[in-house]
Formats: sequence, C-alpha cells, structure tokens
Amino acid sequence: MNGSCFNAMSRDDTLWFVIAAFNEGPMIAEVVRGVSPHAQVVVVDDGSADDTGDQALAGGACVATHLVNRGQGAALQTGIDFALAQGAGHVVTFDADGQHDVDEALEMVARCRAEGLDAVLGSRFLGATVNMPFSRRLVIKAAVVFTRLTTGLNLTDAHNGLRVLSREAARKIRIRQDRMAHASEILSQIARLRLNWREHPVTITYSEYSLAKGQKISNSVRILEDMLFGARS
Amino acid sequence: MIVSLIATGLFLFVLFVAAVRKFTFLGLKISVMLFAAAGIYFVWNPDQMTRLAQLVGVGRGADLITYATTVILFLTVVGAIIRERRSGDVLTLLVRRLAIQQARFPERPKAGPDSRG
Repeated sequence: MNGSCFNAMSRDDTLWFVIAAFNEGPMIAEVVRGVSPHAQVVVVDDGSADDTGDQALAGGACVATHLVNRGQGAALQTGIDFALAQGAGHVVTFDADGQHDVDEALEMVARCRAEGLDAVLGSRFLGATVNMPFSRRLVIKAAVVFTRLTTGLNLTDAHNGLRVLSREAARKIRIRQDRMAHASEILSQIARLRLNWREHPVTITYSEYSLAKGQKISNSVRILEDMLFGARS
Repeated sequence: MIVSLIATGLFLFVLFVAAVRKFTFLGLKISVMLFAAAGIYFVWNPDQMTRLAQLVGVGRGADLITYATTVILFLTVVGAIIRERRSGDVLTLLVRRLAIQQARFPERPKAGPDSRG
C-alpha cells in the first residue's frame, strides 16, 4: 500500500482530498482532474455498480474500493485512514458530485494552516448557494438548529461535506456512523474533543446532476434513526 | 384442548432451548425460562391470568397477553436492529481494511509491487 499518487511540481503532496463516491462514474473523473493539480486525491469507491473506480483512477486519483456499499460515512473514514497512512498533513473531505469549489477548499486549507486550526468547516450560509431548492434549505436550517442544541457548536451550516482537518484532528475523529449521520457525528466529536475550529464561507452549486444524486428530505428520517440507534462504542 | 396442548408444546420447547442454550446474560436465560414456565401454567389456568390482569389494572387476561406480546415483540425488534448494526460495523471494518490494502494507484511506478495489496 506504500507509494503515492503521481506528483506534479506545484502540488502539495501533504494535502489529501478524500472523496467518497457511489455510482459517480459520469462525474468523478472531472472532479478528480479539478483537484489533482493541487493535491493528492483518494477516491473511495463505495461499492459502485458503475465504473466509478476506473474513472477516478483515470482522472489521477488513488482508488480504494469498498467491495460492498457501506455508506458515505464509512467511505470517508476509509479515505481518511488511507490518507493518514500516506502521510497526509491535512485532509479535505470533498463531494464527488461537483458541488464544491476547489479554490475555496484550498483557501480553507490555507486558513487552517495560517491560523493553526484543527478544523475548518465550509458554510454555505456564510457563503453562497446556487440553485438551492427551498425545501433543502429548510431541512438544513432545521439540522443546524438541531446540531447547535446537541453539540453546543455555534454553527451556521450543518451537513456540509466540505471540511478541512489537520492531521491531528483527522487522527482523533473516528467516524462510526457509516451512513449520512456521520456529518452530525463529526460535529459532535469536534465539540467533544474541544477542537479549534472555524467556519469558512463556501459556495455550493446545485446542478441537476448533484440534485439527483444528493440527499433527499426523506434521508433526514434515516439520519435520525441512525443517531437514535447509534454506532458502536 | 388441542390449542392448549400445542401452546404447552411450544412453551416446553422454549423452556428446553433456554435451559440448554448459552446466553450472554444469565438474567436473560432465567427470564426466558420463567416466561415459558409461566406460559405453561397460564395455559392450563386461564382464570389465574385474568386475576393477574385485574391485579395490574387490565380488564381481561387476553388483553394482558396482547400487551405483553406487543412489548416483547418491540424489544425483540430493537434487539435485532442493534445486532444487525453491530454486524454492519464489523463488515465495515473488514471492507475498509481490504479497500486500503488493495488500493490502486494511478500510473506510477514508485508505488511498487505491493501497491495492490
């Protein structure tokens, strides 16, 4: 498992983007190509039925393949473990569907380093959203209130997949919620571990593709169920 | 009569299985055995079930059985969900270990022969 993804002169090889992908064949290579000039990329192919893994590899990412689908939380933890094993200094969690902006992610990394932070969390409500459906805005706002109440973190966004973690923070945080409840779990661990965090304004672009792939409102019920039954201790 | 015999047979089976099988918690083993023994007793003494029901404020013995069954079913389902989650967690750990061991690297060479696990 030793080795690293191919190097480019301008690339920061201590910076790893972790992308969890499930059936993202049509989009993943483009997303990876956007990132790979700047940082190392690991795509965790979460048991996709399509050619997500091959496409990601062709785009220039390292690919770790889950033989069966285990959910986004599980895939992110796999990618983080992989990146740490490769010597990552900072880890960025990044969506596979093209919603996130690479330049903003790099700004977040720069801020994380400059201010010596453990975590920088993307906030679409400090930044901007493009084509965000009203129903989704409502659900996310409700999640923000819930997260504030349960973690005590004074957040403006929740369930935002764009995050930067220092190596130490990535080592300390263990995602045990395999599915979508991992987003709340990461925040509650940030609170419990008393990590030094900041939010950073980001733009989330809701394309037709990302809306079709993204979370549905009905998923919020599943997230609550996951949180209720918890994960292993 | 036939129904009583069938019910008795089922409770005896439960009693036997509980007596023979190993349980993680001794308390659970004793509870299941007591439940089966009580079942046999109440099958042949239905009036006692009604008395017990009245004692706890439920009208009829049949109602008490319905409520008790509902509670037991609920606990069983919750237990099954928790067990299923635990197996899922183990599966995730296995899948993760394999994924990392067998990770693929784009082109390159320096990855060496063990880059595919």
